[in-house]
Amino acid sequence: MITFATLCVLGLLWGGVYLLMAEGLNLIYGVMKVVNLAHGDFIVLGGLLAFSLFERGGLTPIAAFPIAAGLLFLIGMAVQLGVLEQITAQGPEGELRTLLATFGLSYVVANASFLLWGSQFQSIPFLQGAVQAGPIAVPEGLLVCSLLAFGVALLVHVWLTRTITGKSVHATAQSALGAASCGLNIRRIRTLAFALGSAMAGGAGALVISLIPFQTSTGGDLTVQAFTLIALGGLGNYPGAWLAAELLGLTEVFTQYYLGSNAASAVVYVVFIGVLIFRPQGLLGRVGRV
Amino acid sequence: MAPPEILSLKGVRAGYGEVAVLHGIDLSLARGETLAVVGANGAGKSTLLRAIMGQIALTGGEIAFEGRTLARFPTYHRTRLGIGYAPEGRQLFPGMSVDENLEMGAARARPAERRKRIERMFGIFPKLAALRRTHCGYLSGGEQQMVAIARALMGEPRLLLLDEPSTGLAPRVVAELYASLASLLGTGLAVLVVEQNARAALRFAGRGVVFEDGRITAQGEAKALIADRRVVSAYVGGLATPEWAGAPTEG
Repeated sequence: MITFATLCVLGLLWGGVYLLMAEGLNLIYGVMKVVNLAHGDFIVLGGLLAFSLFERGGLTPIAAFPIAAGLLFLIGMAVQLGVLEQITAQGPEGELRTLLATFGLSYVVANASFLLWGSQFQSIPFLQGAVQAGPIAVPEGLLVCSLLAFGVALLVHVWLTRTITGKSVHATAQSALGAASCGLNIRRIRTLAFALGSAMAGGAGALVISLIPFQTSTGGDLTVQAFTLIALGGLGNYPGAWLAAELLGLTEVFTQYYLGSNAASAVVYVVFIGVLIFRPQGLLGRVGRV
Repeated sequence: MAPPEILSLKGVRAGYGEVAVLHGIDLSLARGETLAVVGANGAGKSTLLRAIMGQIALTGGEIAFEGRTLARFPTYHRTRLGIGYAPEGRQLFPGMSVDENLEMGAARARPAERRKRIERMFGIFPKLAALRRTHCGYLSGGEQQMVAIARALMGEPRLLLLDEPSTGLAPRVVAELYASLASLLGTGLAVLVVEQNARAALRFAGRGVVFEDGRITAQGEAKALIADRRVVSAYVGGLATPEWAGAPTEG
């Protein structure tokens, strides 16, 4: 029973971490219908930046979080204005071109990271003890990262649903023409969404590098994982992404414990394929009548 | 003295890629005037509104709003200048409530002003007041159309563009919709409505224009167009006469 409870707690906490890694991608896809294939590389870049700040300045991942997020916000803004906004073609052709552009961007970011940090795995030893909650022991680092992840996700959710700027982003995600007809500057909103999504990736990287060692080539795997999560939740659906993150966290932790780490990733994708077959719009994806 | 001109189109040409749809349209609308643009499906009516809103680029001619040429302004800026637009397909935000959809129509206004305008919209479309917390994705077609028009009015435009507001709606709902729109007349708001439901649009508007293959083939007072046998047989008589519209004027 204690083992079961421990696995549940660990699964939920890892879910928070996965959510943080995927939510930026979800925001970008939700607003712009662009799958940012460089998202994982942004996470790695944020992580490696935090690594340097730790190594040279002694900054903890929590202190590095706003710096990495801020830098990636600026990079995201530059990418959106300098590259994606220039790709004006609409429809399937436009989607393919933006997809190819982010694919190229992924290479640029990964190789720039390689030049700066080399190819070795890097990690930050941070909060390596355990918090004892009754009979359950929870790794400190995972607990802090996960709580921060939930905090950020909640903050973004409140911003999107309670403030007029957040609602404008939410509205643009649902109908760009509708938003423009309301006098909303959708170019500015798209830039804000891409920059914010990139900032969330950078911030996530700064935290996650204390839990998972990164190297410059890890980005591709992280992109696939984040995309799986948002597709599972219902593309662009924020509560859905939350639910999917918890489901993935629990599935992975339980599978790892009972079947071993090799089986864990396979089971996650089996769950993903199952959802795509039986509920292709994702767990909380909705089909409106508008 | 005639009311000042609010919208002017001179030799407007536009289309999609290689396909030209509008072939030199000349049109003008005065402040407070209502104009119905009618014609068959594919005649270029919606393209006309897209061109006015900057959704498609002009290949020739000029569009001016209150004497200012619109060429360099993107869609959102044209809305801010004072053009309200309820596009084809309504383009609502289905995951947001009626209140939130209306809020977006006046996103730049102060919160207190936004609330005041929302209450004003519920005065024009009383049905929406009871649905204010409902997500728009769950509304009926007629209710969605009311939200689309109310949202376009939230920015307090001086010109309102309506793209096929009666599409897919039952005759009773069309009557209700146009009755609500009629309550706006006399406020100085100019309305340009494009419709396949020619009878409904021409009964609402003061002036009418008939579109055919991207060209204006007839225009004049709406009442005269309804009475014109050629126009009626081509664009009005061919459509089912809605019960609410009464007997056809051509007898």
